[in-house]
Amino acid sequence: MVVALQIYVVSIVAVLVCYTIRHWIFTFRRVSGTQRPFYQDIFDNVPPAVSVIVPMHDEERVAPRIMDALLRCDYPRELLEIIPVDDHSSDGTAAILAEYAGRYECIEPLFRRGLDEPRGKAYALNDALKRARNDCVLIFDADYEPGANVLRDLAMAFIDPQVGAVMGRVIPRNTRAGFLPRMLSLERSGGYQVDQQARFDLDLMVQYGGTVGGFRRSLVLEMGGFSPEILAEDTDLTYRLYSRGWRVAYANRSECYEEVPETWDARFRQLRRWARGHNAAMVRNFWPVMRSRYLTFWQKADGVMLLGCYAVPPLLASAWLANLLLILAAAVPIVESLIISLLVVMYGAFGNFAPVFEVGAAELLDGTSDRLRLLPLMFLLFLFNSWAISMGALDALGDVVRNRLPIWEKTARFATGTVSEG
Amino acid sequence: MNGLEGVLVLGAGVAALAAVPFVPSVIEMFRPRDAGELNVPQDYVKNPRFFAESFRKKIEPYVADVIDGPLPHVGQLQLRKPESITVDRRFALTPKTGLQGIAVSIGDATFAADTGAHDLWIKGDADIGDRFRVWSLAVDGELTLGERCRVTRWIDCATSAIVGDESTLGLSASAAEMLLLGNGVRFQRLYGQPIVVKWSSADRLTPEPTEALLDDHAFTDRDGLSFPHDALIENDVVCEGGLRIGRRMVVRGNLKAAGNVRVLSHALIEGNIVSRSNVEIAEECTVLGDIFAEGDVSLGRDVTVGAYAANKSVYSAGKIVLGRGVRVHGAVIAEHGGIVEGLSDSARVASPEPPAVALPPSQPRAVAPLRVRTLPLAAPPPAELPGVPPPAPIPESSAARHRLPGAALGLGAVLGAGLVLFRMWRRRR
Repeated sequence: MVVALQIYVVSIVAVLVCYTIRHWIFTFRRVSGTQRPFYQDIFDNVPPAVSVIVPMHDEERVAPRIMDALLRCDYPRELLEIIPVDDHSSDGTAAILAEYAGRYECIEPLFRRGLDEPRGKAYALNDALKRARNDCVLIFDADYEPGANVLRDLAMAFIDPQVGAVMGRVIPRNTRAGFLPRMLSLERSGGYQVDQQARFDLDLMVQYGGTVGGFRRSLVLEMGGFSPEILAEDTDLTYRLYSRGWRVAYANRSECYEEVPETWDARFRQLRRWARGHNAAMVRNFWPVMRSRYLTFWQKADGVMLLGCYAVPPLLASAWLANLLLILAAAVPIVESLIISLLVVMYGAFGNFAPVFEVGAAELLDGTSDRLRLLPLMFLLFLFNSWAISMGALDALGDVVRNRLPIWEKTARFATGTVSEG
Repeated sequence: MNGLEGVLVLGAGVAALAAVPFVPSVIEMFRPRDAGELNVPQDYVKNPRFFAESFRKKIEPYVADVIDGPLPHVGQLQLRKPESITVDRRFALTPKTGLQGIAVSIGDATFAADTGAHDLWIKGDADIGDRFRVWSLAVDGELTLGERCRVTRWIDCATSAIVGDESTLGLSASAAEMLLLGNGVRFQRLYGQPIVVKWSSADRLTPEPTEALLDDHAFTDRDGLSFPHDALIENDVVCEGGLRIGRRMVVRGNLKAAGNVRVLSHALIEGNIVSRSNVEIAEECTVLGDIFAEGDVSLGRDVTVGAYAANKSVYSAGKIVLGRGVRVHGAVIAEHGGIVEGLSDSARVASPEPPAVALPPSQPRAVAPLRVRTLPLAAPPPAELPGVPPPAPIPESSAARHRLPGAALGLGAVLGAGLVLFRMWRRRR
């Protein structure tokens, strides 16, 4: 028993070391390597026809903003179709959409209100996909605010016949709303500027994030649409595409403002939902990825590590528990054990979850400096994230054990963030 | 100091040291110096003539104010710093003379050989002699630029422009109408409707494919694909190796290859061409879509990209070589510079031609089942088409070599160290 526990603890340390190495490779690549070109430099006055889908549930506070932003985009109107989906809203969302539809021909809202139309993002997307006329589909959440060139930049990725999906970069807008949004802004920078871009540069697994991005409609319909059983429909789509030989392109310059949670409770629920969905996606996609003949060894390795990232915090917690048991059983020397535990904590805090060096490199690449002072406080975010993610992992386990269908829960909107002038 | 006190002092010291990084964090948290969001330009849109339009917009109000007064006018304009500005009805420079600061000609301008200017806006036509030096040049009428001229930043013409041999066009050269380039012209970004390399002379041969090939699916293969001459492809081709398109072929879909893409003469590609390495298009081919290469691009004699009113781009993360008579409707972007090799028939497409395909008359011109992307097959696909030689080896660009050097070694070392640590731990027990 003692030997088994010791092997388990060492194995977890090895897993964490692997994650750290992976993050180091990504960081070095971004700091010292050449950025792989995206398709944004292509000037084409006949871009692909696109359908833009915006799922909405009780979004009256933000709906006009994204509608206006989409209408401001530099895209030929005859090639643009906007489908906002009112998914059982109980506020004024439907009225707002109806008003926009009356004013603009390219806006064709989809109202989902029937009892036979269950609520949830996956259901909403599936219905909208059936309505969409174009093969190139772009998705935005309602709290997003795309810049004038974002649609064109994202759509140009589909000139590449191997690209099944494309992902842009998300920039938090409401950073002035408090400490948490500022920390989440740091985390997002590391995740996109370094992590996603490095994976694109190295031709590894770029993750489609479900918003500020798009995919080929025909592909998703061919694969049976989005599964309501998976809360992380974006992660699931990423793996289904890669395991079939398609690729996800990352557009670092297609930056889009979003609203991040301003309260710890909202963030906890969001992270817990992501972890629940991501772990379900891991169970569903692990073997297809491993067996795929379209992926190289490194793509599989990166894919598995990406799939497993939301399983690491509970594993880490279990390793701490195992170590504690070893100490209580006097099976390990206390001093060495504490040192190893400390190292494990440090790896977890600074070696995972958009780790410190990735965030630091990202801020340098973005040309910021003062906000880097907040970097040591990422430690607090690590502890919080570990807690929320572990709860999400338990939820996912519960879903499997009880054979229950997870219920999609919308992240709370605040609509307090306004982009500062200039 | 006894032992316990020593431990306490040591502990306090370590705690104080550990707290040091958090001090600026706490200060930044309560008295933020940078709490704003990252700046994302919300109104940015792509405009290949951005430099010139921005320049004109800045100068126009000043010119409008002085144009009705006595000319020439010499004054000062406040931009990022004060700049001297000269406005005149027309400029006519003699050899070895030049204009300082910003110069605006209300009418036509004539510059003899060996002249120069800094920032120049000519609202009429411009006839510029050889060896002209300029920082930036905007012309509202027609522009004729002599040989061996040198532009440091950009030139733009609101109608059509002719650029003489051996000129260097700086960061950007654009024209609202035709942009005609002489031999040996060096450039980085070009935009014209169309961009033409002089001179096209040969009669074009229209490809007439004899039989359809691969007409139902998109295909992918790791080792490269080589298609026979005179064939027709109806859909997308995705290839993990190199890709060769035979002579006089017609491709109705898009092409993507991780390796080099080589299109032999007189082919018609109706879709886009994407390569993670180099793209070579041989003489008299037509590409109706965009060309995007992470390596170099070469367009041979009389190659046409795009079509009237359908602007497309030729993008290279490396270098671009344009051959004689090349015509691009839209933009040409070479991150590491481009050159016109107008005296050459085939630009850089000089590697030996692969042998022609000789299929027996009775053998149908179909291919063995390759890996169909939407319906993965159980059996591994053949590496190449039957009877067709593999693509000639072309050196891969550095952009295509995305590997993780040393990562395996590092991973092994870390796992090995972990094992040693574990064994030492066991031995201690």
